[in-house]
Amino acid sequence: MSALYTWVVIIIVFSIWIPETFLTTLTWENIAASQAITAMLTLGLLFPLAAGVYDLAVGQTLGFAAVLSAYLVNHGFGTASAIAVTLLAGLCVGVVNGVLIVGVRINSFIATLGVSSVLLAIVGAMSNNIQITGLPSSFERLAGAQPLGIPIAVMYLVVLAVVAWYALERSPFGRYLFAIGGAEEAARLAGVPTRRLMFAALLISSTTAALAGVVLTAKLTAGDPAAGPSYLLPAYAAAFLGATQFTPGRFNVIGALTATYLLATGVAGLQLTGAKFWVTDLFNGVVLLIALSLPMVQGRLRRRSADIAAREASSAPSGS
Amino acid sequence: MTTEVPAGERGGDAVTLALRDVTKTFPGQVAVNRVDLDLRPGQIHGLVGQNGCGKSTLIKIMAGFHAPDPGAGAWFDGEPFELGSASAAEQAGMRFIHQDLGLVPTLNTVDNLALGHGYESRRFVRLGGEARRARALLAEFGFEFDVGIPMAQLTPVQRTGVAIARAMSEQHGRRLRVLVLDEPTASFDSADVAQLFAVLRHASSRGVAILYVSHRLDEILEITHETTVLRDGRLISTVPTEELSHESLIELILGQAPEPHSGGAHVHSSEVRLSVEHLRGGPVRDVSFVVHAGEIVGLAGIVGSGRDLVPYLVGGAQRPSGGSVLVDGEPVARLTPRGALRRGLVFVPGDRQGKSAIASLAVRENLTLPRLPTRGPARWLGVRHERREASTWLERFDVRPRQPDRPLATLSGGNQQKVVLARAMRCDPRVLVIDEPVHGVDVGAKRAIYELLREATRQGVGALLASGDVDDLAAVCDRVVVLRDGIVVAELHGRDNTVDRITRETLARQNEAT
Repeated sequence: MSALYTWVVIIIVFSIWIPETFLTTLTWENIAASQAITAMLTLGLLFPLAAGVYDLAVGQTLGFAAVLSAYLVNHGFGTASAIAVTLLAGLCVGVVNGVLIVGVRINSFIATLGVSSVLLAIVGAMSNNIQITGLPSSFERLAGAQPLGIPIAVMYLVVLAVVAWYALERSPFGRYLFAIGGAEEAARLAGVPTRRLMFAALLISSTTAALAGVVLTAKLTAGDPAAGPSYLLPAYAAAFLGATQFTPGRFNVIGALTATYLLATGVAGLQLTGAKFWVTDLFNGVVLLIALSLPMVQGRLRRRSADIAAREASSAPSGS
Repeated sequence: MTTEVPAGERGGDAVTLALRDVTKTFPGQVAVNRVDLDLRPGQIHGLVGQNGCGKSTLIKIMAGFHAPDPGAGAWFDGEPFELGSASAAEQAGMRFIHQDLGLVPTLNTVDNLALGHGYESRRFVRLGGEARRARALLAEFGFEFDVGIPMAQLTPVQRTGVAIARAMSEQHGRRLRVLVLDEPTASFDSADVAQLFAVLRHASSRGVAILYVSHRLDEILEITHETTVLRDGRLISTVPTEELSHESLIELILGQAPEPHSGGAHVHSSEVRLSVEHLRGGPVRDVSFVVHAGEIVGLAGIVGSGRDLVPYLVGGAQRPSGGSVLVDGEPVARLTPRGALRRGLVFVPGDRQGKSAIASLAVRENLTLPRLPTRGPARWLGVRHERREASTWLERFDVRPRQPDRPLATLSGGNQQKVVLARAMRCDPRVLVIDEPVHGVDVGAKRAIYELLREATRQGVGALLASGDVDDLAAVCDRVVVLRDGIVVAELHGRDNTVDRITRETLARQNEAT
């Protein structure tokens, strides 16, 4: 729960420091909308992470989908069919990841790095590393609309979060993934179809990344070939930071969302104070490392005091 | 404290390592009780005894892993020697080769040897020179194979050869003086054994004192000069091996034949729950047996006999190369853990940490994993509902503490094992296949676990219980199937189901078999 307190502290600090810019609806709308894409990516990523599989291709899959959707609408596809084809392409990336990791049994870390590189090449080929612009207005409305005054991207996120929460925390699928992540062989011996589920988890992370890519293109009204990689670290940071919260030691939806917005609030606040551009990266990195170190150090201290207590307890009867 | 320095007291020749009055007490158990041992240069000394006789504790004391109780004495080359210190053992030139050999499986012979004696140059590794050196070293031991391929691709005896060659060629510390081998041939073919013996004879001809620990009495009789027998932690005797026969050695290991007590007093129906037909795979060559409803059938055999593999093959954890498994007369078509579970065959693996349970999940989550208590078409996994159900199981199996949300890792070994057993029973099994259910579990929990197993069979379950603990098998099982070298060599029931008979059958000589 410490993330919630930290978040409150960050908000209070900036409210006192720069009240005239920080405490505006515009700032909050901005934070909410801009982070919806990172948060969506993170939610999908939680599935392979729960099963102990690293999908490092999610960032580049997002970038690939962003460019592909723009490319398609500029090459005669309707908005709906362009989105459908893009999501399908995302699914295909997941299939490739799954075949490499579950079928061929390549270490997930390096397999998805390799796939990332291939996707980067495809993005280059489609875009010539130039933003694809001139998208139809029907496409822009995907992210620009504000029903009930709420950015629509946030609504996508809420729907996705509810589904992800159910799937990870209240469905057999999620339980099985955590079992695989805990001890793959033990899960298999308990009758869990480990390979099939790891494959499914990779399909989910890729398809969600593709969806996030479509939303990004709609929001920017351009397909940005450079967008993908910059989303990778924030998504992992949010997932791991979130795993220290609410249900410690376990990747979880609420924790990931909280972590995303905690980081985003801090970054937005720092930017409004006029800090240098690199402070963003510094803040993200430092918060992540502190948050991951704290439970480790606490655990070690707790173990040490438990050891001392046990030693005293065991020596007591022999002493008397 | 012992007083005299025992060097040369027997036979007049020198003693490399002498142990006197070594005792090791664990809470509630004396594992090693006033044991003496002399290891002489150039001699191979056998160490035998049943499981739990104190062999491994004694070795661990020698290696410095355990400190002995006060009062023990040790001399190395006649000089007082400190037991219970790993660095002292290392400095003195004592090396221990366990079954895992301590080699790096992904590295090749050259590099594994270099982990011991280093490379010729610290700055630049000349591959050709290093390979020549490795080949020459192995040739001394009668080995000739590609030194450039990784350990994982060598045969078990080749790997053992590398481990021994490395122990003998180390440059730091002192040269090899005492070599202890713990069950080195467990995964060997008989041809491999001959090659290992050649290596050991070569090592002993260079003055190394060797302690050879094995369940395989043939090997003890063939290779050793002297044999020490332990029973219940006590030294029974140390005799020149040439004075021993297979039969007399078994008598020494078992002692006075214990009260023939029969575990087969329980009634079971004639209905066959599990039948295993001509099962093959790895060291398992041809295994067939049946388990009836209401029956606990034990599976006995020494390490390497196939006893430890059969439960995995029957439970679908590992694919057999042939044979079939039938539940209630119907073959299990898809022999995977999942497929077996669907047919009511529940496999409970032995090693709790890595295989049978998931330490990072809660007790409740472990308990329900094979069959989740979901509700409705959405398969909603209600935590409150799950917690309530888990609580009743914790109650029934007397798991303590009764906290379904605790991480499993925080429970004691015995309670973890109860959770694993409860998990199996929750699947409404027809057949339970259990491997080493009480490994590392205290006495009280052990009895409780066996009672729970008996209770399960009273409800019509057929249980297969594989264990290396012969006492338990004789006490708990209605019938015991004995494996040796991958085949069934005996089925003991009624009056024959005794510790004595089971041990005899597991150890009987190869040429006596069938």
